[in-house]
Amino acid sequence: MKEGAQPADKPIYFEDPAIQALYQMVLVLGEELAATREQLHALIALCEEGKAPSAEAIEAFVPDETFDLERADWVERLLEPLERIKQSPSRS
Amino acid sequence: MSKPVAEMNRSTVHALSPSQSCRDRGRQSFIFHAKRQLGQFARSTLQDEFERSRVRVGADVEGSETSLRLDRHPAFAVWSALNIGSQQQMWRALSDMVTRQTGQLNAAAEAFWGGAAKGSLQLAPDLEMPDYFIETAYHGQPGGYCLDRGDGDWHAGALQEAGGTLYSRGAGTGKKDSKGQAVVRFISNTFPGLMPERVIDLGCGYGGQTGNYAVAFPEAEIHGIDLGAGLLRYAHPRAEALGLPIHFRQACASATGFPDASFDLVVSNILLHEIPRHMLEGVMRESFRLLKPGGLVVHQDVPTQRADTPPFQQWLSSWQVAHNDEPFWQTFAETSVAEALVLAGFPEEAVFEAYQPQVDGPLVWYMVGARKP
Repeated sequence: MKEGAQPADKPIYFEDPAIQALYQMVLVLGEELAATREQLHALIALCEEGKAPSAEAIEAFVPDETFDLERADWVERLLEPLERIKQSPSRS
Repeated sequence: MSKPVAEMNRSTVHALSPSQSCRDRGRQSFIFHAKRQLGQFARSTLQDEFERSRVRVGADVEGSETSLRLDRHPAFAVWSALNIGSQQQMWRALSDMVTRQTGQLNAAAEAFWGGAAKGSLQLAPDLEMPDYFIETAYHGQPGGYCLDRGDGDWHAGALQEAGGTLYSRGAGTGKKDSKGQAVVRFISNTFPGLMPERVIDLGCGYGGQTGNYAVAFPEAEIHGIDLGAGLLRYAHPRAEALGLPIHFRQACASATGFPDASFDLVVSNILLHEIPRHMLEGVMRESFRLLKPGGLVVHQDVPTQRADTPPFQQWLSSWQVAHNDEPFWQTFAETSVAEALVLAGFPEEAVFEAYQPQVDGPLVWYMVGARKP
């Protein structure tokens, strides 16, 4: 029986490690919100179609491509502030 | 008995594919789009800053000096933290999905064991594992490729397939692409008419690429070897579920245990950048030993060795080494596989190197190999 290898420790990229922890928390929140959005989208779509929004129906629901574009759009908005870091002067 | 699939790529679904719940889909879509965005950010903002650093310190600057300057840029810190965070999230999301379905997937796997199997699985419980293999959690995969909790555990293979698919799509690889197909296309274009009777895939992992050789050469006897029992326990029922007759064996790619001159075609897919140099040289010697006269070896891997690899791409490679559990990436980039093939016994004039474009993605794959006289 082998429990296997563990990923190597990762570097801390910020002088204050709390900032890195905050970024991790933002990612977890984003992921959780994405899961909730997915379920909510299925729920609303089923209601609009006049179908019973059972757990089985939500699991069986397949979103269309438009919803995938919406997913991409909101992740883009979430990460958009990164582009403004570009304007920050490099410390040297 | 399942009918063999017509082609295999990143969209291939089979009886062992875990079902994606609504929540799984939301989580994985977020990770996919985040990875895509972070990739674009690297190719725009980070690359711009990288080039400015090079100009500031001179065009001939060593990569390490440039890295140091980029390391101090706040965009680098944020990008690195998010990039690593998204990778860790990816493994958590996939582990949750696979582990939740252990019971169902066990039942699905068991249906393909027994006398009706077209292929086979031969494990070697006493096989000694190299240190590098048991110490590396490749790409951060929990437990790495050596994860084996016993009792038929196949989680390493399931995670490798699910992780490889999500990671590659996030990195821009198209859905239709597969590395094995790229090798088949390369062989078809470069060595038309090749009809091997026996094929071996070295370091076959979960068997995703091995299946492409079974599809391309339906008359051939196809073998796949890997060190990871947890990979192979998934590979065998997966291949059976797809109707592909493949014989899997737990063995080291540098000492497979097959007789001399017993294969017409030896292949590997992204194995070489995952092993230390002495092992790479051993794989080349084993390739030579296994081939019949006139046989062909093709190793496919990441294109880090291009003489014209842009400096920023080289910098991204070194980031992988330091941050994404890729300990041998840089060693591979600095190794001449062609020279290793010559040292293994292939005549210099028989050795080739080439670059094969993906089907529907922007990347190219590195192909290196030789034909045995």
